[in-house]
Amino acid sequence: MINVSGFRYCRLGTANLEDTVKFATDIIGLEVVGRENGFVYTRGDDRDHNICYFEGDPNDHTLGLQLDTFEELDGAESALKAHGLEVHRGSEEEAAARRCMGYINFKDPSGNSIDLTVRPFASGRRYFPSRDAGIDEFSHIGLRVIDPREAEKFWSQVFNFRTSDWIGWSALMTFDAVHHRYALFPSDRPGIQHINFQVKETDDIMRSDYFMKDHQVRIQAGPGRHSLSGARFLYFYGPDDMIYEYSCGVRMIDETWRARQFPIADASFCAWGSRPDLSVLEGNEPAE
Amino acid sequence: MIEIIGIRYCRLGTTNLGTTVDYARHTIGLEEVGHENGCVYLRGDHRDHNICYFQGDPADHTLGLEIATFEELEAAANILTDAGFTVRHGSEEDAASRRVMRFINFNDPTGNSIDLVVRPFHSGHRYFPSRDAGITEFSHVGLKTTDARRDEEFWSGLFNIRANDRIGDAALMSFDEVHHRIALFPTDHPGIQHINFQVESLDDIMRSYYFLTERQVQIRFGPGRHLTSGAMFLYYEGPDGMTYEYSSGVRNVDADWKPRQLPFKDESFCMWGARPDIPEFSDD
Repeated sequence: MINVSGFRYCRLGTANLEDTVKFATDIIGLEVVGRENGFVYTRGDDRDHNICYFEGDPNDHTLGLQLDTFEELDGAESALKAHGLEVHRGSEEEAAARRCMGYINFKDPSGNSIDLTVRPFASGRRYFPSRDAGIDEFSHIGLRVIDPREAEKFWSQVFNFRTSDWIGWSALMTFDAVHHRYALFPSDRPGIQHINFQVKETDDIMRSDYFMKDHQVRIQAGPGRHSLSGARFLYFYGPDDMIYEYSCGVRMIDETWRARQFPIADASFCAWGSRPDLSVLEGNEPAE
Repeated sequence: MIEIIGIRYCRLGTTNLGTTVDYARHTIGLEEVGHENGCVYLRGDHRDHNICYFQGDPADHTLGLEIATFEELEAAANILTDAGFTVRHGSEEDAASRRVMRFINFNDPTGNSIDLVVRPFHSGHRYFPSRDAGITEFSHVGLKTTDARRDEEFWSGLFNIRANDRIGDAALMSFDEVHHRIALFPTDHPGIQHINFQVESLDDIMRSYYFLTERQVQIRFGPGRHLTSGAMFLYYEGPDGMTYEYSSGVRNVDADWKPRQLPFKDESFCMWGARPDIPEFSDD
């Protein structure tokens, strides 16, 4: 069992680095914390960074998870190899670019590129954005998977992920007290489907709803309230059609929590009655 | 000083009683509690009724405010008469149709028709609507004024009503701990400008937002949040052009509260960035 202890970063290729960074800072409300070797590091919380953008294929996504020790990293490498997966041991230079002390990379059965990092960097300076979106934390992602049942099995058997709730076959999974760190979405390709930042309160969700409309940003769903986690949400499209989400008030769960099954229906997605795009749950989202 | 202890009802003329009552029940979420002599009584809380609709001129509005005793009602009649206002004592029949034990009626300086009522009816049944809008209380009205400073002086001079905040000259006034019970909005004619029902939570505001949007109800303002009262709100259009509001989380104020002045512009009405489509709220 590989013990994930933290949710650290996304590394995202983008077709136009400067436009994307401008969107991240001026619209999403992220802070640029560093630029080197073509990588731009941004964040929405006090940790070193949450998103690293680079000029490249917009389908090139990597998710960075944290393990506690180098021993666990070695153990993870063995466990993944035993599972028949190829593991790449990161060089010092590659680790430096990921701003951690060491890492391995592998692809999950759907082909998602995952970094397992040890001792990712903290930061001595607090998060200080140029737009007040009220962001508190990089909190979870939607992950594209070929078969949500297989993916759920992989992440719960090889890793310490457990399912908090299901909507259709899609599992919402976590490794800690937050209701979900992953939402698995059936898709014909791997990749990160959306990136979530927690904001302080509903006021921030609603202010951003009007802010996005004023700035002609396309809203993907919401404002709404997730029936599963209780979080208030707003999804919007960023560059390269990446979906970003603000949410607040996500449910905390403990070991007594029992996973619930929700049907694929509007009311499962939103308790308020907003019209979600359910195609993402059915694996037949419209072609881009 | 005339002491108001409750905001009780609106009496509203409507061009199509059946349609309006249907809208009140199925869209606003009010409960019909009675239908007699052409008057239909509805409510959103446990009191006898909050709105009485009748077939008639849609500009014919009356606001019902409560006074504690018959003695105070007589004193109020004298105070208003001394101040130069014409006071009409309601007949027993008229009192019965208002579902109160006694009342007087007068017009405020703008011409708004006001009932001052004593011992309005309570109800033995709890509020039980046919649509779950989450309504908890009929809470305040927007009242049209042709001169907000004059009318604020009228209400605060003769009544126990004080301004708790002002947006331009629009005074948000109350007689109890709720931030506002009567809000004066400048325009060129009398009437009730909007009718507010409190709902349980923000969830109700947002559910109604999607509910109303799907039913092609014209949203006039919101979802938004007032900086003055802190309440989250949704304003929408009902029959005869009347504006109805749901809100949640209105501020309670005490004797230490100091009224604040806000400029008369869109940003003073909503801290989230919603823009009003309500002439009395708009700065352009």
